[in-house]
Amino acid sequence: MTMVQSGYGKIRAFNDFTAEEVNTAPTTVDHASATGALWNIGGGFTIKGYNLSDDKTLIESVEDGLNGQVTLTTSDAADGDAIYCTTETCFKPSVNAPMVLETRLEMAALTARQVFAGFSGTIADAQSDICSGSTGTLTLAESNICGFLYDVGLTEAVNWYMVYNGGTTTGNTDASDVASGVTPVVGQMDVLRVVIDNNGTARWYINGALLQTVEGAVAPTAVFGGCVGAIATSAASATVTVDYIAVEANRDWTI
Amino acid sequence: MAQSGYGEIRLFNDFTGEEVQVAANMEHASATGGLWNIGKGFTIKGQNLDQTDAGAAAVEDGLNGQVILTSSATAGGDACFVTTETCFKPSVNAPMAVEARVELAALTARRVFVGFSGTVADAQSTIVSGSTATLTLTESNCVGFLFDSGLTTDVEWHYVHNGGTTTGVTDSTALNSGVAPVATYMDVLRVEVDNNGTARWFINGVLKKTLAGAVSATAVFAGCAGVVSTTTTVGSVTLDYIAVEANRDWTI
Repeated sequence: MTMVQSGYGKIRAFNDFTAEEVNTAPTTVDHASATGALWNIGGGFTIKGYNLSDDKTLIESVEDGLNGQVTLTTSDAADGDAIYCTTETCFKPSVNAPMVLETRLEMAALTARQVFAGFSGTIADAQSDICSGSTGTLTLAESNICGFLYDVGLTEAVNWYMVYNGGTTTGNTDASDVASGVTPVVGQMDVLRVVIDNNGTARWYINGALLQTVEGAVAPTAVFGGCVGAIATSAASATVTVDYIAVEANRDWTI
Repeated sequence: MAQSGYGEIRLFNDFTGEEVQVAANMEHASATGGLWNIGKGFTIKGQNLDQTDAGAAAVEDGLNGQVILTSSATAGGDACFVTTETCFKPSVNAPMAVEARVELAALTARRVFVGFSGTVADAQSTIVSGSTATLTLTESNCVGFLFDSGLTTDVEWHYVHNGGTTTGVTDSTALNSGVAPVATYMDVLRVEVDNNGTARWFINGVLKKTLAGAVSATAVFAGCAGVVSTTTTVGSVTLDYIAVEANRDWTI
């Protein structure tokens, strides 16, 4: 049975981070145990991550950050502490595609941090690594992934890596195969965009240039959240500054 | 830089649901979590927000969605602003615009500001104020509309500006709009800033004033609307909506 569709079929979650912030020291409350809308940041996004309850963890709007910017900061308690700005896992390629995650971000340094931007099949309240890297090898921690990774541990090349897992094409753990050739530069913004089709094909863009297309990159029937986040790689806080995040998809009109 | 499709910034809050309850009892700076966030790119700031008589409450049966900003009665200068962060610089983000549809329940004991300010601190008090026919330009960078019950020479919306190559005018009679706010009637106030610091003021759709060099092109502004108490009486203003428009700085 076909449903009569309204004009609300296009989904566009967007946050320009012009004001909404979660103030420092949110009184040691993890996402799962927060009361009220404590970690909501508006625009269809919330904050999750490992050790959010640590008072070093924060999400702050950047004063004089043009267009509105936010800095995500992880705890400095341990490797794996994380902070993500994320949607719920609510987008399935087979019914919601084309799905897009785009973000504009910069790092204050390239040391002691991972940054992930893209889709993940799991973004738990206390989410830690989605994927990580060491020397020239990726560890695909989550079984359904599609996005960009920067990891200071990937010493074979200082690059954005175009990672994926869960599709008919086996997730590639050789980092050199998925290196973008684009080196993040301290204090300079990059626009990262990943697009997933309804058959699981994915395309990665950096600063407007198409850099990789993989058929069967993800499972069309997996359900994803769109996110951007920073992950600590040691007992030091990791940060990433985000100008905007956009997640686009289409409605599943199935009745 | 290769630009994506997200270059236009348009923040808009119709106040159809999100509110910050009165009796939030917490200053912006010490609030836990996103307590004062009101959605769509805006937050609430002001002096003495921790008082139980201050806050931002949705208006029941307020058609289209409306919110009442209420400043505390603790002291003159208590304030309640709905605002963005200071994140818009004319030289790179213009044209910039703030538009709000506002009404005052009374024309007594309050000052209302709508526009851009170079500072909107967590405990922001007065941006601009007036007495008889003289303005005090508290903030060094501002452009917008002021109603102040202290400006007794003319009960009007005034066009205020400071920080540009044109010196901020403090004689309120030189900044009269000719439009008197009427208690419980809505006015649409819109101010636009160009990349060279030229500003234009519109009331109810009519261009009323254009001024070259009204603001510094390199100052960084927040878009805001708010009310400030002038005595130990609460101030209030009702907003139907607020919009802030600008363009992205694509500098890498």
